[in-house]
Amino acid sequence: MKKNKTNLIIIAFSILSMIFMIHIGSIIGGKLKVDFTEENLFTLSDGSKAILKQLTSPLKATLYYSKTAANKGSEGIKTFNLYSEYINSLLKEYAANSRNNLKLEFVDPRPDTKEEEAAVAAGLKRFNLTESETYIFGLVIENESGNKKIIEFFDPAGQENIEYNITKLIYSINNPRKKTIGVLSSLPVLQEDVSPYMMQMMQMQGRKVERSWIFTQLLKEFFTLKKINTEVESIEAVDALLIIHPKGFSEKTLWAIDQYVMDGGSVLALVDPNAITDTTSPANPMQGPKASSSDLNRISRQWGVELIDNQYAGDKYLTGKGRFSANSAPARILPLLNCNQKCTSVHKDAISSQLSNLMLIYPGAFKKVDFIKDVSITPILTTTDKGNTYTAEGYEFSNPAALWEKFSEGTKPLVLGYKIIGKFKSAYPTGITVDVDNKDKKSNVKTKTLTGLTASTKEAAIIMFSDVDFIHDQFAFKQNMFGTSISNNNSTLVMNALESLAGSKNLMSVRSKGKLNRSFDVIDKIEFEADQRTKNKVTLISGRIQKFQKELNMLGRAANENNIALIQNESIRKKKQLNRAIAKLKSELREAKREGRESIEIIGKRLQYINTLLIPMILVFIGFGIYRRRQKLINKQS
Amino acid sequence: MIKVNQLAKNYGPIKAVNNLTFSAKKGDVLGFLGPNGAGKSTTMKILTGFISPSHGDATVCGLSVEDYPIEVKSKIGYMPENAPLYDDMTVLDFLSFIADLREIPKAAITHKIQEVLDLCALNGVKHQTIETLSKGFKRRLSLAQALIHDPEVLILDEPTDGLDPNQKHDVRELIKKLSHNKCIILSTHILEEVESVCNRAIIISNGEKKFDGTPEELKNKSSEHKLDDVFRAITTGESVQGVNL
Amino acid sequence: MISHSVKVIFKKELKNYFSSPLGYVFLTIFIFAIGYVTFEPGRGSFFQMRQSDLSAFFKYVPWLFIILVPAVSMKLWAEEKKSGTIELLLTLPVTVTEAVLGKFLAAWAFLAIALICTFPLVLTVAYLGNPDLGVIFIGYIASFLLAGSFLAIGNFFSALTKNQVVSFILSVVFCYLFFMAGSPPTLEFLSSFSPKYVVNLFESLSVLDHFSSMSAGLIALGDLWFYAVLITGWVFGSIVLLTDKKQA
Repeated sequence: MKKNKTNLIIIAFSILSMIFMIHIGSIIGGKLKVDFTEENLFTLSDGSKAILKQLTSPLKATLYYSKTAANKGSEGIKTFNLYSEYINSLLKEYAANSRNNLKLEFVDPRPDTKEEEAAVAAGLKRFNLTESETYIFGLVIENESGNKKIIEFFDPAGQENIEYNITKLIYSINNPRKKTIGVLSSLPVLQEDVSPYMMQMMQMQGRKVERSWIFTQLLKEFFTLKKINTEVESIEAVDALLIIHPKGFSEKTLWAIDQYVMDGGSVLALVDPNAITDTTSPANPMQGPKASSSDLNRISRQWGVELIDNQYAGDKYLTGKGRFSANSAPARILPLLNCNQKCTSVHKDAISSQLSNLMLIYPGAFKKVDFIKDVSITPILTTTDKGNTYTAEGYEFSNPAALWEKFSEGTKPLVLGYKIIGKFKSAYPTGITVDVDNKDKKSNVKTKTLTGLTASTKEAAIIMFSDVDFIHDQFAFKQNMFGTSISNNNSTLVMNALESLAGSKNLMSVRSKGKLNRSFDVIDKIEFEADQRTKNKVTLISGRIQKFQKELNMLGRAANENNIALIQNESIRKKKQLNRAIAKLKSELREAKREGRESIEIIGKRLQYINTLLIPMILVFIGFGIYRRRQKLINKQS
Repeated sequence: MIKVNQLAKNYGPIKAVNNLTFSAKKGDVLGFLGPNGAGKSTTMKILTGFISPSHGDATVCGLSVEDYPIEVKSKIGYMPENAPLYDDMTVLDFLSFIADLREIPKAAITHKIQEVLDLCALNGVKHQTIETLSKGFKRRLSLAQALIHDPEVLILDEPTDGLDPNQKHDVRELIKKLSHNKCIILSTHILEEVESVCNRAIIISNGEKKFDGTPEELKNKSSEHKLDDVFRAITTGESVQGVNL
Repeated sequence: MISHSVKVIFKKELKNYFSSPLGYVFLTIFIFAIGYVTFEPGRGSFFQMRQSDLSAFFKYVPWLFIILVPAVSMKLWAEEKKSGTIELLLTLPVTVTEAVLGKFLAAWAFLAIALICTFPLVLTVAYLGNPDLGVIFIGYIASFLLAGSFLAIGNFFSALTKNQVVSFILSVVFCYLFFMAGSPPTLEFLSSFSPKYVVNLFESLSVLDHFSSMSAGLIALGDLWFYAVLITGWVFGSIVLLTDKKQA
C-alpha cells in the first residue's frame, strides 16, 4: 500500500513539475524559431520587415479568434484552429521585427461580451455556429490616432496571401496617401460609383448599369484611380498609367501616351490579340476576332517590343482544363494558358516570381524589335520552351479540338510579359496633326500640329502583358460563401506590376507566398499523354461520323421515286452500320481512357507495394540470414 | 574482506534481516544456512548493492556498500538466486556483454571468456541462445559470468540448486578450486554442501544469526554427528534428541 | 560524456532487437502499417491528393506510435523484473541511471531505425514530384522526438510494474492523454470546470500541437524544449522509481 502511494506521489510530482517547466519554456523560448520550409512560410519577407522598420508610432494588433467556440464546434472547424495558430505565430514574427512598435493582443471573444462587441464594431465578420455560440476570426490594427484597419475574416484558402494582407494593413494605416493610377481603357473597367439607390433608379428607367470590374474595385483599396478618357491630349498627375485593351485609340491618345513615357512615366499595358471579354462593340462582325484585338505597336515599337499580329501563344504543357460548352466533358483547351512557376520563377523578377497559378485566355506573344538598343528589356512571363504561336480562324474559335490538332510544339519560350526600362525615342519625331475641336467655330482652322519631346528626358518603366481577359472578373475572381475572392494569381501579377511601377517597392516584394507547385509531375505527364491519345480517338470518331453522314446525304440525293424504298432500306442499313462503328469507336475511346487511368493506378499500386512490402521483405531476408548463421555455428560447435 | 555490522532490513513491519553481524576474510568459504525466508538472499542482495539496508552497514574490501556501490560491485562476482540470464542472447554474446560491462580490456576479453568457458565446461554450447540451455548449463553460465573478472569476493546464492548430483559435484570442486585466493559466500540449504565445501558456516533464522563457526563445530553439537538434527534444533528452537546446543 | 556502461548496455540492447524476431516483427508491422495507411484510405490518401509532400504520412505517425512505442517500451524493465535479470544487471558495476539511459537510448535508436526504414516514401515523393525536403526532414526530426517522448512515458510505466501488459496499457493511455491534451474535446471538457490558465497550461502539454507545428516545417525553441522536458522528466521519473525500489 505504502509503495503505491509513493509511486503516485512521484508520478503526480513529476507531471506537475513538467507542466511547469514546459510552460516556462514556451514563454521564454517561444520566440526563437527556425523556418525550414522552402517557401519560408513562417518567416517574414524583407518587404514586410522594411515596412515594419519604417514604423515610428506604436500600433496595436488584436487577433480575434473564437477558440472556445471552435472547440465546441465540429471537426471541420479544427482547420481553423491550426490556421489561427499559424497566424498567431506569423503575428509574433511581425511584433518581433517591429522594434516594439507593434503590440499584439490575442482575444477569444465569447458571445455577448465586451470583446465580441468591439470586434463586431470594428467590422469583423461574425458567424453563428449554434444558437448560443458565435464565431469570429479576424484582425484589427489600430494606430495611436485611433484609425483602424481590419481583416474581417481569415479564410484558410487565402493562406498564400496572408503575409501580404497583414503587411498591407500595417502599410496602409501609416500611409494614408494613395498613389494615383491613371486608367485608360477601351473597356468599361472603371465606372462611376453608383449608389445602390441610384442603380435601382437607373434600372427602373431601363438604363444599363455598368459596374467597374472587380479588379479595379480591388485597385481602389490601394490606389486612387483616375479615369482617363480615351480621347486625350496629355496625361498628367498620375504616378502610373494602366492601359487595358488599347483598341481603336486615336493617334492623339497614342501620342499622349508616347509623350507620357518620354517624360519618364510608368506604364502598365495589357494588350490582347483576342480579348474575348470585349463585348463592347462588335463594330464589324466580318472582322472576326480582329474586332477584339488591341496593341500598342505603333508606339511600343520604339520601346523595343511588338505584339505579334493575329497570332496566339500556346503551350500544350501549360493548357488549362475546362469545359468548352455546358454539356461537353472537361478537356484540355489550348487557348487556356495555365502558367505555373515554370513560366515565372525562371525570370527571378519580383513581379512574377513566386506566382505559380496564372490563367491567360487567348494570350498573344511579344517579339523584340531588333533596332532598339541600350534599353533593358527583360521577359517576366513566358511559356515553356515547348510553346509556339498558332492562328485561329472562323469555326476554330468554337472548336478547341481543332486548334489542339493543328498546334505544333516549338523550341523556344514565347514571351507573354516584358519589363522595359530605359530612355526611348518618340514614335512621333515630328509631332502629330490633330483635328481641332469642332465646337470652336470661330476659327476656320480644322487641324493643328502638336509637337513635344522627341526623346526621353527621364528613364521610363513599361510593363506589358499580352492578355486582357485574365484580369476580368470571370477569370481572376470567384464567388464563394465568404464573398468574392481571388481565384488565382492573375490579379496579383497586375497588382505587383502596378505597385512596382508606382513606388512602394517594399510592399511589392511581400506579395504572395506563392504556393510552390508540388503536384505529381510524373502522373501529370501520364495523364496528359493519355488525354492526347483519347483526343486522337475523338477526332477519329467525329471524322468517321462525318464521313457516314456524307454518304447518307449522297444516298438521299440519289433517291427518286423508283428506288425510294431501296434507298430507305439502304440508309437504314447505313445508319445501323454507322451506329455500330461509332459504338465500336466509343468503346475504344473508353478503353483508351481506361488505359490512361489504369496506368496511373498501376503506378500507385506499384509504389504502394514498394512502400509497404519492400523493406519488410528485406528485413525478413536479413533476419533469416542471421538465424541461418547462428544455426550453422551451433551445428559446428557440436 | 567482508564485514557486516548490525545489518537490518525491514519490509514494512516484516524484519527480513535483523541485527546481523559477521565477517569473512580471504580464503574463507562461508556457508550461509537457514530455512527458506530466513534472510539469506536479502543479506546477499544488500552485500551486492541490489537493495539498501534499513540499518547498519556492510563493507567489502574496506569499502562501504552504500557509499561506494560501483567500486564494491566491481569487486564482487554475484550469482543471483535461480540464475537469471538474458534468455535471448547467445552464451558468447552474454559473456562478452558482462566482460565489457566489467571493463575488462578489449584485448583480454576473448581470452577471459575462453577461460571461464573452460572452467565451467560451457564450450559445447557457446553459440546457443541461453533459452535453449538446460538448467545445469544455465547455472554454470551464471557462475561463469560471476567469475569472468576474477573477483576478490564471490557471492553465490544457492549455486547448486536444481543440479543433478554430478553437476553438484563439479560445482563444488570448482568452488574449492577457487577458494584459496578469494572470499566466497554461498547460501544453501543442503547441509552436506557446507560440510564438503565450506570452512565456516553461519545459520540464520528469521533474519537473526543463530550460529557462526566451522562445520565441524556444528557437527559436534550432535552426539550422532548429524547436521540435520543440529540444523533443526537451531532454526526451530525445538529440542532435538542428541543435540546439545 | 556518456559513460562506458551506457555504451555497453546500449550496444547490447540494440543488438538484441535484431538478434531476436521481436525487432523484425516490429519493424515489419510498423513499415507495412504506415505504408498502408499512407496509401490506402480513400480520398485522404497520399496518392489521391497528388501533393508531393509527406503530410499524409506524418499525420498517421503519431497514431501508430501511440500503439507501437509502448509495445517496444513495455519490456524494457518489466521483463527484467519478471525474469529477475534486473538483479543481475544492477549488481554489475552500473548505476541505475546508466542502465536506464542505456536501455532508453537503445530503444530510441531502434525507433529511429524504424523511421529510417520508411525512406522509400521519401524516394517516392521525390520521384513523383518536387517535394520540400527541408519540411520532410523536420517532419522526421519531429517524429523522432515524438517517439522519444512516448518511449520515455512507456519506459516509466515499464519500470513501475513487472507485468508487461499492465505496462503496455498504462503507456498507451498516457501517450494518448499527452497526445490529445490540446484537442478541442479535451479542452472543452476542461474549460467546463477549470479556469482559463489551467486550460492554457494543459494545452501547452499537447504533443499533437508541438508535433504538427514541427512537421509543418517550423522548429521553435519552445517545441524542442517541450520534448526535452517531457523526455528528461519521464526518464528521470523512471530512474527515481527504480532507485526507490532499492530502498523499499
